[in-house]
Amino acid sequence: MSRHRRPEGVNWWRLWSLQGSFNSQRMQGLGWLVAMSGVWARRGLDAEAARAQLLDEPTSANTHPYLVGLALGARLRLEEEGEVAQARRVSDGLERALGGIGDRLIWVGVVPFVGVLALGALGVVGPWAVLGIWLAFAGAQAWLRRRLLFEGYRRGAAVLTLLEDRRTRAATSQLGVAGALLSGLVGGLVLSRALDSSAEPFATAAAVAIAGTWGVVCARWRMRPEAWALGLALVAGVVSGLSHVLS
Amino acid sequence: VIGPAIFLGALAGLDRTAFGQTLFAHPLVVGSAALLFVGSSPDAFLLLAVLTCLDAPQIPVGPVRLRDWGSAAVVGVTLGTEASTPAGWALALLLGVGVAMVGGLSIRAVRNLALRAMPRVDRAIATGALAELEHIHLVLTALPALRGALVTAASLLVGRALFDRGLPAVAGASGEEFLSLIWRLAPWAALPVLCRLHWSRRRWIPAGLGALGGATLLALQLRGGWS
Repeated sequence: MSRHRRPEGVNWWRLWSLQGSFNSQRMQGLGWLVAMSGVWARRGLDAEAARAQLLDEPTSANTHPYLVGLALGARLRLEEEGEVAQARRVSDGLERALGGIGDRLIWVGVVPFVGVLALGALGVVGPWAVLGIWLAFAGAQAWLRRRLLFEGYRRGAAVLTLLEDRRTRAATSQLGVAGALLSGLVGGLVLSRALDSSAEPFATAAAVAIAGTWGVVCARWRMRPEAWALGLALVAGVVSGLSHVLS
Repeated sequence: VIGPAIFLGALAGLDRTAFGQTLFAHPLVVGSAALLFVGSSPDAFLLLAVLTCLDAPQIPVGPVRLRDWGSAAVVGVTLGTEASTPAGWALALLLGVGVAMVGGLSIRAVRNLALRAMPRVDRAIATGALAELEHIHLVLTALPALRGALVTAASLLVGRALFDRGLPAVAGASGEEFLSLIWRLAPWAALPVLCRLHWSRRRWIPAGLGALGGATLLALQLRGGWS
């Protein structure tokens, strides 16, 4: 089979909708089949050949949606080289590995940092700055998806050497440091906006101390948001009642 | 602003997990987009900050129970801006928490629907019908957009009735004072949730520097040097 410069039959919408039919049992299983089906259709498989391919695929899949292109690209390269059995083993292994790496790097590292950066931008500049940050993030992840697909296709089985876990751990750690610094600054910005300077200082200090303690309790024991809201209402009720009694 | 709000709810519903996951469904992003229609204000910033704090610990890994903070942000910002009183913003916040919960249940319902479609998927696999598989996948991908639009529309409807009847009923009474107090205290109770997420894992030096910077901003505000 001839080698192409880029994988044929992989449309962007197939990669972007990997989680479209997500469910608790098969997770991204159907999304993966749909991503592969574009390639099979391009190769001109008839119904019987397509059936054989579909029955050979695992029914469930779970990987990181931003990084799935790497597994798909490597799989297609190996299939074109005639290494069908190895192609399946490599893509199955890559899916699991990329799921772990992506969860740590993207959901635990990048997204919380971007969130706190956007919060600061909203407070200092305004909503347009947040939308600008979102556009930059969306553009970067679109570029990453495309780049990883091409990189996986270019390298084939050698793509496994790209999964240098140390680098993603270092990146996550650096983002965490930046997030810790930024969250303190943004916290001060938010509280300075929330502070009612016209109120009586002692009563305000007492009220915010009680509310802050409640927030620490919620954070420490990872309480649900509804419990947080009910507790906040209770705190407000207690503070309101005390202020009436004291006045 | 109802039409744009529902449109934003649909886009956020689609983006949350089904298509793209570009962070458009983040409460700050979709809430900021809603602010372009209703107008920005310091109170809207505080509402989005509190919702962001509550959303932050949620990591969309595997079959985790998600909450719909995107719809909550759109509904909260829209109704809070219309009321534009401390009591109104408090009601918008409490309503937002409720919308996030109900939206989370609707996300589970959509995923259960996807699960129920799996026998059809198996039949399509057994016959090698690639077009049928794509059709099922595309329908299931579009469902979250419909879900987001419906949750946002229903929440705006219920929320507006609550605002129209509830706020005049408590005006000038202790209920209004109670709601205003909730609004004043909410950021203080929400920020520890965000800080714990970023300050864990023994990042003492950057966390300490960040806290020092935040405290400086607060001190400047207290001295009237920060606006």
